[in-house]
Amino acid sequence: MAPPEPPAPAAGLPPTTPVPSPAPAGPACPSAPGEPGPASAPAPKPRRRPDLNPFSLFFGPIFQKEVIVTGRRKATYFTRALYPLLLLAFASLFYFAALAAMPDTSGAMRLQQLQQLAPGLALVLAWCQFGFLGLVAPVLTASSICSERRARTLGALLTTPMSSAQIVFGKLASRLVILLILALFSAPLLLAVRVFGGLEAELILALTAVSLSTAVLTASLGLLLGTWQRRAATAAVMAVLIFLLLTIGPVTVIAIVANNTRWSPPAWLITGSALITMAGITASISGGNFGLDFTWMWVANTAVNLGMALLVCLFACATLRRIMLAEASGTPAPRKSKRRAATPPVSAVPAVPVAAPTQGLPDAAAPSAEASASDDASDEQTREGRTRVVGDQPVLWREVRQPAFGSRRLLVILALVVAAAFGLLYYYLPMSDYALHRIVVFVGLFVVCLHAAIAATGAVAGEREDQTWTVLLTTPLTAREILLGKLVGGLRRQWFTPAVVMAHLALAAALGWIYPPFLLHVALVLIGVAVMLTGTGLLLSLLLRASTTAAVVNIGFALSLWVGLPIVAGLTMELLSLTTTSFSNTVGDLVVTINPFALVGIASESATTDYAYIFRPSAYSFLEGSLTLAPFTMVVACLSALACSVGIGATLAAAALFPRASGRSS
Amino acid sequence: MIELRTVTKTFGSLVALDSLSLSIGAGECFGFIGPNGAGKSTTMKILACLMRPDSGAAAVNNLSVLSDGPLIRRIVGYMPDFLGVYDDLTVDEYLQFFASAFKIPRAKRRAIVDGVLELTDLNDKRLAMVDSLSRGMQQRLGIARVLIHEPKVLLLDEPASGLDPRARIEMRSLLTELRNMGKTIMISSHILSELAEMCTSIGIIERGKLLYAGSIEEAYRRTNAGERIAVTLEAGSPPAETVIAALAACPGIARVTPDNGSLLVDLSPGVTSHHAVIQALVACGARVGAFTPRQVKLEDAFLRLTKGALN
Repeated sequence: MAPPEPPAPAAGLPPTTPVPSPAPAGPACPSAPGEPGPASAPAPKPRRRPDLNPFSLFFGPIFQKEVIVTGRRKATYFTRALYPLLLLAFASLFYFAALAAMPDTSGAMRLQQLQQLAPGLALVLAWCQFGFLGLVAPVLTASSICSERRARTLGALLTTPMSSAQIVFGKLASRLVILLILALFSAPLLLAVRVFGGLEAELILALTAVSLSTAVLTASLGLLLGTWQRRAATAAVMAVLIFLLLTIGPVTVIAIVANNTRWSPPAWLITGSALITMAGITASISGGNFGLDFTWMWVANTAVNLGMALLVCLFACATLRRIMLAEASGTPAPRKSKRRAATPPVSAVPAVPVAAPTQGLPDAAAPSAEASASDDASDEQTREGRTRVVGDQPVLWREVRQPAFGSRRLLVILALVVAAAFGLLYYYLPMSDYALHRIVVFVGLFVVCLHAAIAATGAVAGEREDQTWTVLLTTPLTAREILLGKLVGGLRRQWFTPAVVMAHLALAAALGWIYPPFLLHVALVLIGVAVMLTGTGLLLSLLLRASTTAAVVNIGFALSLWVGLPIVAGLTMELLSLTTTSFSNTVGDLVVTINPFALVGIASESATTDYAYIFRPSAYSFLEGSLTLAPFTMVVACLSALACSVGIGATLAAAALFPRASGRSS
Repeated sequence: MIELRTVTKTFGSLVALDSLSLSIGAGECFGFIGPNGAGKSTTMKILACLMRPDSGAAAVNNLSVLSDGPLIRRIVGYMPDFLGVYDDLTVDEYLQFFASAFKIPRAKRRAIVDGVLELTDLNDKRLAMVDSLSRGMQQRLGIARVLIHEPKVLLLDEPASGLDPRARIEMRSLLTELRNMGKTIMISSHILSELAEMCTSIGIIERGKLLYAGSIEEAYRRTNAGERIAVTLEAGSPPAETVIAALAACPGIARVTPDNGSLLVDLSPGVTSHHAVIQALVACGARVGAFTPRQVKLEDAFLRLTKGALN
């Protein structure tokens, strides 16, 4: 049947443009006679070949965009300025302190002494570089995917011909450029050390290669975890922890097994550990060698690090592809998909009579008839949960109900891994061995420090990122109510590690291998550290825009307090030739005791159940004297209280700064 | 109820609000119109005590935003243009959370939450996780949250943005209901036709300056715009030029323009009778296929009021 004619235009009027009738259904290009139609034999879909061109893989549009964006950030230039300045400061302190410690000699002797100084200086710089690049790398990469997820741009990227490999490697390359620039900043310093002589160029190359390849590995781990985790700070810290596990775990297991079985492991087995390799290079510069030849190990370690980084990146590509598809299709993220109704369905919930709560809320909703219809399609995707009664402090109520882990499954997996690790430890190390308890306490303390440093950094910054902050500020909740609620919530989420550590110590004490007050000392130290870093994290979260920045600054604060301060104090004492005085010992005791690791170390010296030893006057030794149990416990309690007051003080400072930082007008 | 006097707010070199003065009476539904970046959201944030003005004074119910923030928060319900939600709460918990935040006694919370769920038609979604709701439902939840503490004033920033047509209709019905409940509503939207149906007065803002504030009728009057009639002629009518000439000679007709096969007849402002037009068409022998009067739209008023106003 012919389509109807369009109506004739009115006489004299400009003719209207006829609307083209829709094309008849069927193929746009009919097949030629004799050719098979599309229905009978569809054309084979061209197989997409992966683009393995390194240039497009690493330096494609993602790389270019990231480089442009990085160039616009003030933090980029701040880091580039801070890093060499810190290195220079450490090097200068070390140099002048060492110089001051040298006896006055003639010019020729002086030159010889300087030659001896060079390796030490090079090592200080190399370890600084190793630590800094290894920590900064995951921070840089973890946020790269997290920010895309938050901005919901992954789905848009999926619509482009770019592959997930191009995205992953592009982002990695852009971050590696930043790291390379930072490494280049330290190169002149390291090379300048060579002027003194006594340091081979190969060693500088080895130190730089291990540091950079470690940074590439931690950057890759950060990238991978950034695809899983919602918060970049969490991803970055997890990347560091996994790196430490990779670099320390196998070596520890090998050492324990070798120790118990008289098996001598081949040297290549520990080349995977960057820390051991760095320690080996350090030893070879210092004249020792651990009985191993480290001259070739740096090459092997660099290769292992880069190989692992490649594997991690490939895994990240596969994960990213899955997440992009989920984002594009609107499917909820996997971590959210399991929560289902735990209470009776809606129809079974008893109707509560509406007691006209407002000045005339209507009995029935106006749009009720059509309301559900428009959302029918989304009904199937709606997830339901168990409804709880909210307390009178809503922020506190919500914060203490935030899960410490993303899902229950993750908690179970983690508990199993920890149980397996403890099983291994208990199997090879007897409870009577104090090394076991020290390992548990130090590793536990390290994890608590890291966790506390990031636990609250997303408290405010995360709400800003999720855009829930504005709504919260419109309520009459005071700054203290909001921030103290978040402090308590942040502390509660850290329960796992202290619980594991204390459970182990309680078991050891119950079996009679540890003196019970050691539990109290460790508990006090853990509480102090957790409250302090959570409080400072909360303050930084309020003051800084991004949760990642807040986490990095908080970790930097802890490092400068516990590592930087003792180093600076020690070098300053050396510089002022005060090393053997009572004053320097007192300063040394002060800066050491504020370090929780040092405090726990002193406490663990007397964790024995040899009561005769504990009650000796020199049970707990410091530089400027010794303490018995009661005064030492008092010292630990006071330091813990001091740390707690710093944390609470930081929270109260955040409350005072709240109107200014949040923008609330009154 | 809402009073702004010479309020200025700058962000660096950008002047977001430039000596803005505005007054909205109790029970009014005030539509705030302006292009993106005009200063609508900034004004609302100042009234919600989320932002401090650089200068000037702003008050809600005679309470200053600079000194009476806690009191203002209890009488104002602010809904931002993008509603962030706590993804770990159910709809019921989300509303309870804000009821608790507004210090509503625990004994009353249940009834109030039920009430607002009923009003916003979210009863069926009581147990749904907030982040799993559709955009339309999330917007309704946003309204429910805003109502939880029975505010006298509602500040709604683009409440219908991103909604499908049906959800828009539902949102409009809901807001009309709220207006009928006597609440003072300040609402910003890009959908001007919706504002025209809901609002009793409007304000037009551009680049931080308030170009107009008053009733919609007054806006139409100020734009000096009359009614427009679209006339379609059938075949057999005299040439268009003849018809145009006949209509142009008719009193009460301001302008006649051909438009894609039709004629657009603009009546002079204040003229509402169509009789003269029909008479002129018949007199010149035109065969009328369609005769469609069109009301002046808020869009027209907006365009005319903002055209060249700041140049």
